[in-house]
Amino acid sequence: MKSFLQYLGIEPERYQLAWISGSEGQKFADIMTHVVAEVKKVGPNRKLREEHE
Amino acid sequence: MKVLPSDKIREALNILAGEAEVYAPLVNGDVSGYFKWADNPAEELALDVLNTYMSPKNIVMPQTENMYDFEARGKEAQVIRVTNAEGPRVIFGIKGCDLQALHALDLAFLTKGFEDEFYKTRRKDLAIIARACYQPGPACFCESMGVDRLNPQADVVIHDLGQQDFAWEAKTPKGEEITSKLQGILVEKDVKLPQAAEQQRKVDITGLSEKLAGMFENPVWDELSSRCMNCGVCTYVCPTCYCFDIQVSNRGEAGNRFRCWDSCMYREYTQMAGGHNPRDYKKERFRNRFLHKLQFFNERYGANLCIGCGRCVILCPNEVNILEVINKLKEVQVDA
Amino acid sequence: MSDNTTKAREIAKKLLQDGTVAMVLGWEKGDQPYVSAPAVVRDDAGADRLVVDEFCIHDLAALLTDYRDSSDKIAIFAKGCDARAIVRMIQDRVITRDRLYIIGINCPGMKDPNEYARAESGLSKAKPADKAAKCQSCQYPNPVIYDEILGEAQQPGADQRFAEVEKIESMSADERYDFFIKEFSKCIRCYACRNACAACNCRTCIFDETKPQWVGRSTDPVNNLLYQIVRTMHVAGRCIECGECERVCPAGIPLMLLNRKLIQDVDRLFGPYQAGLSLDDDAIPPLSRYRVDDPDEFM
Repeated sequence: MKSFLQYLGIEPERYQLAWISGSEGQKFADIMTHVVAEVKKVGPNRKLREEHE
Repeated sequence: MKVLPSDKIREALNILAGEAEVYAPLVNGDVSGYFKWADNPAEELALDVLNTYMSPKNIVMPQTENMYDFEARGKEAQVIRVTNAEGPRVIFGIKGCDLQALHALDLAFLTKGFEDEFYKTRRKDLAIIARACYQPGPACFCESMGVDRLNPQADVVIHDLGQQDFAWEAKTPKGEEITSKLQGILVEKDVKLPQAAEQQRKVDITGLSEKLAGMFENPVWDELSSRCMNCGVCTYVCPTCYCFDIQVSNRGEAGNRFRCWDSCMYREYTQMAGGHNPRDYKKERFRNRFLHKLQFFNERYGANLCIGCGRCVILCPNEVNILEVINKLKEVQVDA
Repeated sequence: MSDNTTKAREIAKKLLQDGTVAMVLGWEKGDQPYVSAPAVVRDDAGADRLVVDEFCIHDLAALLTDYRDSSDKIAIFAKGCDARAIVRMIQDRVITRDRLYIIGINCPGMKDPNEYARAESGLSKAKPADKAAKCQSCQYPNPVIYDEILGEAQQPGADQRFAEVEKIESMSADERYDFFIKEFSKCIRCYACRNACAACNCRTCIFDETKPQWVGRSTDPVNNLLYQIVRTMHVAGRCIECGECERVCPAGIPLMLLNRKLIQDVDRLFGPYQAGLSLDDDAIPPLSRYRVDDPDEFM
């Protein structure tokens, strides 16, 4: 899926998959922080936005 | 007679576009249709081909048309903006078949006691510059459907004298108005109008509508529908298919309501709120489409809904052919 | 009349007469020389109308979904791509193998009747191609499954299948996005691609659902692209690369660019694997089964 979205021109940092169990709280927090930082780096998204006149 | 020279067409459209939304036959990649004129050098005018793939119905009935925007917080909702599509429009180059289709749409949207606001707004200030059709294509059968292709009823009628030089005839006061806007471009010339070629495909639909009234349960529909794959291409390229859906787009506390084209070929087209679907099977949906075109519309409005442009015949991926359907229906023996 | 057509008619008549099948799915001529329309034939008179020629491009297997609930036995003509579609239908449990009598056709490549229709009608100035686009890089012209076979075995074409995919991959992210958005601005959401697809055979398609509605119906390029993303993902791993979706699209959108990208990905991540080539148990589409050694880079 990630590779497909990348092929369509969506930055790979915006779509991430991770397998986290309910009991892995620390892992969840770490991954979230990481993803947010990555997305911030690529900046505001202009793609796949539902434009409305 | 006045003539619009081919090298002045773009200029003419630009002049008209200064005061109105102009729609002309244009090619966009692999698709041609009556799109809005924006003097885009990348867009080619499609005046040297028979007609466009997509019909001009998008001018009065856009594929997706916003109705209104709203805000909704908790249980309070408010309409904050209603779409206003008022304003003059001009269609350049529409042919007799598609013009007849426009009249059929008028019957559906403006008569029988209810006027569709959205359709009316787009339709009432629409000036029509129609092209007389001298060279029908092999798939055309508009004359069998009652279309006058040589004398379309329009504000201006243009005739291709060859190489897209168009003889220009204003027919109504609105047509005269448009003519005066273009007087710097139109030239006076002696013209010889082209010879009209005969239309090859003919089909006789006398009495068909009445016959079909008794054929709803006829088993011929199973055979006729067997190759259809219910995809919806026919309904979308057809100039007279006018079914639409009304849907909502929600974005948190705001949203908009819009209407979009729907197709009787889709399975959920007739699905009821409770889940019941009277047209669950392909044959039922196929039958419904052809009866609408050949019987229901005639009964209700006294006019044909199929106008013989042939687009569905050319573009159907599985070769469903309305002429074959009509001929097979005529052959079926029905007990009186 | 071609050899194949004569044989096809004989075979159909025999199968109907001796009761092996209740109906035959084939092609019959329409009213133009370039129209060979899909036909359902149930008797001798119908069988005498069957043809096998270079305009028989339609995938007849896509019509099998209409008969999923009956118990009739069906004879069906199948070119290379159609045979893979039949494998798809059997693996997806639309129909069982014992209900089918497959008359395979070793296929030299077909012409696209719609290109002829458009040129002849005067709607387009483009000349029809000698071989339809979907047949250009065909690697499986000879049916992988059949009960009897027509025609001589054919050689696969040059394998250019992923050339276009690679061209896209060499563009920048923004260029790619703009390219696809431009293509999908032409989409009119007729759903012909879905209806023509052998892998799109769900009883209730996700796009027919209204509660909830998964993809908005308005035809702005973003919703159109989203529709195709979902459809492509749903057929991923099951797409048999027949190209019907691209052929039937009235707007000429290059859908195979999307499907082929995923064929490549599935082959790379779960493969080697190509869909619709075999009915063996180990040829089940990779996304329809779990194996311990499936890639799990997200763990």
